Amino acid sequence: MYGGASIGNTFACEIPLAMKKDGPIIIIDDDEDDRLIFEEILKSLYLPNEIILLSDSTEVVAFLKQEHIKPFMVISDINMPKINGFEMRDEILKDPALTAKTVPFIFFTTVGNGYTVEEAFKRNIQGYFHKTSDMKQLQETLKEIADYWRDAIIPEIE
Amino acid sequence: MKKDGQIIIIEDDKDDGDILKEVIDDLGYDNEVIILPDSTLVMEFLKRPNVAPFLIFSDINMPKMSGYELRDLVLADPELHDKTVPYIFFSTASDPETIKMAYKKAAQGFFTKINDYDEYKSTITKIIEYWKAAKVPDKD
Repeated sequence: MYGGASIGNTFACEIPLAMKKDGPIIIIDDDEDDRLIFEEILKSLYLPNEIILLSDSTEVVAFLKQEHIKPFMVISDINMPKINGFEMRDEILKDPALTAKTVPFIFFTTVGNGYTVEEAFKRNIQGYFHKTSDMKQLQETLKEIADYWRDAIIPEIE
Repeated sequence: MKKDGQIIIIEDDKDDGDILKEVIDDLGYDNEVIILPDSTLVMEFLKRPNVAPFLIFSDINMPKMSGYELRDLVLADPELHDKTVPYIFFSTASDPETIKMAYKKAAQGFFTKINDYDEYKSTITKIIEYWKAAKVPDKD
């Protein structure tokens, strides 16, 4: 039984520090179907991370700047209305603290000619993957991404 | 295709370089593995037209020129910037400043050297599979 006789005793209580790898996985995608597919697949991988879906790229920078948001990783679409993934990434890169907070930053997109890939990697990103309608393939890719970044060393958020 | 290209290991420590090469060969990948022990000779090597690396692993602490100094030279050359994706640091050092610095230099990963052979194999497999699945700048 707990409690009862313990009055007067003190207990040391260790509060574990929130590690970046325990943080949420943030998905930025204007397409609702794609967001739901990402969510469903990530849930099927039984990762310990919360999954946060953001649909409006214009709100992402303000969202990420919140102190309590400590993402494990950010996965973003490129083709989006209002501001596209590149413009959004450029906004993030203007802020060194936000840049460090968004490691790893990964583009996940259906667009993909050579030019797009080159442009993407000019923006200090840690990966670029193609969306596919093959669910099994998509699941495998997302598993590879999670596995890679769970093994990698990434900067903790101060 | 770039994915069939060389895996380049920039590593001054012979044991560390040999072990990493052994792990990759052991996993059965067909990519040629090249160890470059002298960081001051890497720029010249990477500029060769027949060099189209699939992956670059670089140590950080090296004599004459550190991994970070070398990375700065690579980033200053627009052609090499594209050619050297992904650029992955492998080091025994893992203090917060060193880690932060790696990603400031547009690294696609930072991993610590692993002593357990099976664990090492597992991590290298994840790295190779990730970059086989990813899209990277490819001139061809």
